[in-house]
Amino acid sequence: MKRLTKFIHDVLLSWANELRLIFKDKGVLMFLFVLPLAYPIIYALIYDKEVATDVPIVVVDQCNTPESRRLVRYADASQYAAFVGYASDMADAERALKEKKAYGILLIDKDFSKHIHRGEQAPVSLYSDMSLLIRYRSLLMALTDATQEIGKEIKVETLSIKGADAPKIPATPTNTYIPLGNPQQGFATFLIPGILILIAQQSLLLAICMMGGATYERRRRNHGIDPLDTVRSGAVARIFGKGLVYPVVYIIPLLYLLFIVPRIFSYPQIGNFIDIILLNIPYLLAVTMLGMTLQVFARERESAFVIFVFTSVIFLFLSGIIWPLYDMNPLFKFFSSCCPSTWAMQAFERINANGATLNDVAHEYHILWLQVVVYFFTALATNRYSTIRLKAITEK
Amino acid sequence: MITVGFLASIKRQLRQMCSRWLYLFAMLVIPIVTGLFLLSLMSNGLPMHIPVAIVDLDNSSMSQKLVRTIASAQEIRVVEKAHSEAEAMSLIKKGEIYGFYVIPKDFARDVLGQRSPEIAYFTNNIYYIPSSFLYRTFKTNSILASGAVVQSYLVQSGATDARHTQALLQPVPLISHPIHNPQTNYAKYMTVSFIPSVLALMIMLVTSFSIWHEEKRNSSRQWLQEAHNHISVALLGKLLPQTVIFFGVALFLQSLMFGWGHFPMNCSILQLVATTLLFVLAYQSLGVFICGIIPNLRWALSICSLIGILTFSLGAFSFPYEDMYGGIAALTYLLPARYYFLIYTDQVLNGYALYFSRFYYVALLIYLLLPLIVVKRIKKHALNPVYVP
Repeated sequence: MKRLTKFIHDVLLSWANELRLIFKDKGVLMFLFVLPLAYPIIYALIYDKEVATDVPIVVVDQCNTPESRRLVRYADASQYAAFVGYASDMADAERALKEKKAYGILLIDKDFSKHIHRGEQAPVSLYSDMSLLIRYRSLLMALTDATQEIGKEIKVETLSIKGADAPKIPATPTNTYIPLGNPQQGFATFLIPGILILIAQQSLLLAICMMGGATYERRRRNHGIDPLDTVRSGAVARIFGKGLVYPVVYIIPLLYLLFIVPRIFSYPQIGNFIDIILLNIPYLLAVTMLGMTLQVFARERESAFVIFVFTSVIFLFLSGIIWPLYDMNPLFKFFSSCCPSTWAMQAFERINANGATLNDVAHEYHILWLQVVVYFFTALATNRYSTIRLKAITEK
Repeated sequence: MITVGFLASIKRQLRQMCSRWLYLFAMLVIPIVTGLFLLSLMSNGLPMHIPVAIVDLDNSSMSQKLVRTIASAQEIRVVEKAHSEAEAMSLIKKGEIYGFYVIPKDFARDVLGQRSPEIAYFTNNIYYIPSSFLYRTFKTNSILASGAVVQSYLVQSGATDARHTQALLQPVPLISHPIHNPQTNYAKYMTVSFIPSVLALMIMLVTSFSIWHEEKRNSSRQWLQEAHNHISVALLGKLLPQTVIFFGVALFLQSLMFGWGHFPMNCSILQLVATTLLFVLAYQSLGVFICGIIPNLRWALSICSLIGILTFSLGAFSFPYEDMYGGIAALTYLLPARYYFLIYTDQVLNGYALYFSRFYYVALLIYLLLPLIVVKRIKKHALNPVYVP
């Protein structure tokens, strides 16, 4: 009983001590508060428009008839493409591409109208610059719509000319496309919610590793003892105490990331508030424990930048949001499942945009709790290791 | 004198680099491992075999034929036969499928009875790449399949011949020619822009770390002394070994992409090598410039991280800058990566004449002049080192 009281006492003292140190360190405060405040805004502004609109296109109209001009008009009317001018031939049009005056060429064959009048297919060609996929996508959408539009009119005209001779066409099934979770199919709506979760992980990892680096520097200078850690507690109590500081401190940045940013930029937000909060409890704990495990690599405050900033890219790609998990090889799948961000991003996106409940993401939720336990033990192990190492260095 | 100081500075930097695993890790391990990771992650180019469900509410021979046609597409993998739309939605929420295809009740009866039945397909668009790929697959196969139903009916009834039926169903087909990337391979977009961005980030971080770490160790005066008090010599001696390593790493990664990976390359190898060197130098110069503006280790690293991470998005590799919000678009022009990327698309991907990229090369060259503005300031701070944590 006495031991338990001392343990709880030590946990609380370590907690308070770590909290004091966090608020004394400007670098750590910046990671914990300024980073999550600023990054989402910048990202949201970059991808504000969601899709590429009015992508400039030039037209090589070898046919030059009312039909061909009508097609061009339809393409121009689309929000995705903008007609910027006629080119006399393909060479001329290519020059417009090279000077970046246009990103696509619409080529209308000289027999375009002749084919239509004969009741044959009249194909047209789209040549697209492929430097950005998103521009190509817009051009393809604009031209698909325009050709279907004119096609529908031609069909009606042909049938009315044929009159009674027209073949009886059975009903063609119509195709309806329903995009889920991101009805506009926008870039920001897809990317930002996942990024918000990732920002939480990265800012916590950087802050914890910077704290770890600072502790290591002090311990190294003072024969293995950190003069600012006044609590002489055991390793387990220290990890419990320190580990509980970060999730508490991070409550406000997290609420801002998960509820305020999506509201400001009106991203879909159909998830249940309580479910999202419940999901994030094991997430913050797992990230904190992972951070305390990785502290072993930070021998200096500033090395956190050099060795951890790049991991954002790795974590983003391992999350399965950009490149799907089912197409990863077993090795990458393993690494992916080691990251708290993978599970939290997948679960949060589906709760937030597909309206999944905590029950639907139970698998992800349980794994996050499992990670809390596993990373607690790894944190304990690396903590022991660096104490032993420091002893060896300082005794030399 | 200057040569001696220069050699001494180089030796000093080599000693520092070899004595700490941090440098080795940041300059070699991180860029190479990240590069290999991205290349092998997306080595399939397109994520084939997307898990989907098919909901056949009609269960007639006609609908089953349609299901077979859709399911035979190699892009998808039917993991589940859901019995209702609600069941399929729950699979979406669980993350087991990325989309589903619904054939309505009475599909066959409606087709033959002149009422157009409505086929619906759903994709989960929180996954951008699989969903747009899946949309394309569903749409093409669905149009083909339903067109085939109609066509066989028309030709069999002798109403018209196959050629004219085609024209009746789709009078103006669109033939798309994506220039230099006919498979619209996503992996190629990601890797050619993300690998240089990782390099840019690491170059800036290592540059500023190595400069102001001298201040932290209180050795910046000694650093200058060894270069006989010439700041330019001291900086060159410090940065040249890094240039060599980063340039080597960059060339290795480029050869992985354009050589081993057969990414489209329509310029000479020499030009690609020269552009890569210019890219490395431009980012080193930007790093020095930031160090001069903010002579503090932590702040310089913070700004370098910020710029480095934003390079991935602001470089406008994935999203066109003309569609970015207001002032943000202007920021893209402050990044060397932007010019590098424009050169890449003009020269390497499209093989245009050098003339069309002249301004981008000039812009990269201008970055090399940036350190000149701040060397004096760096010297001043190096002579009076004050480490602020």
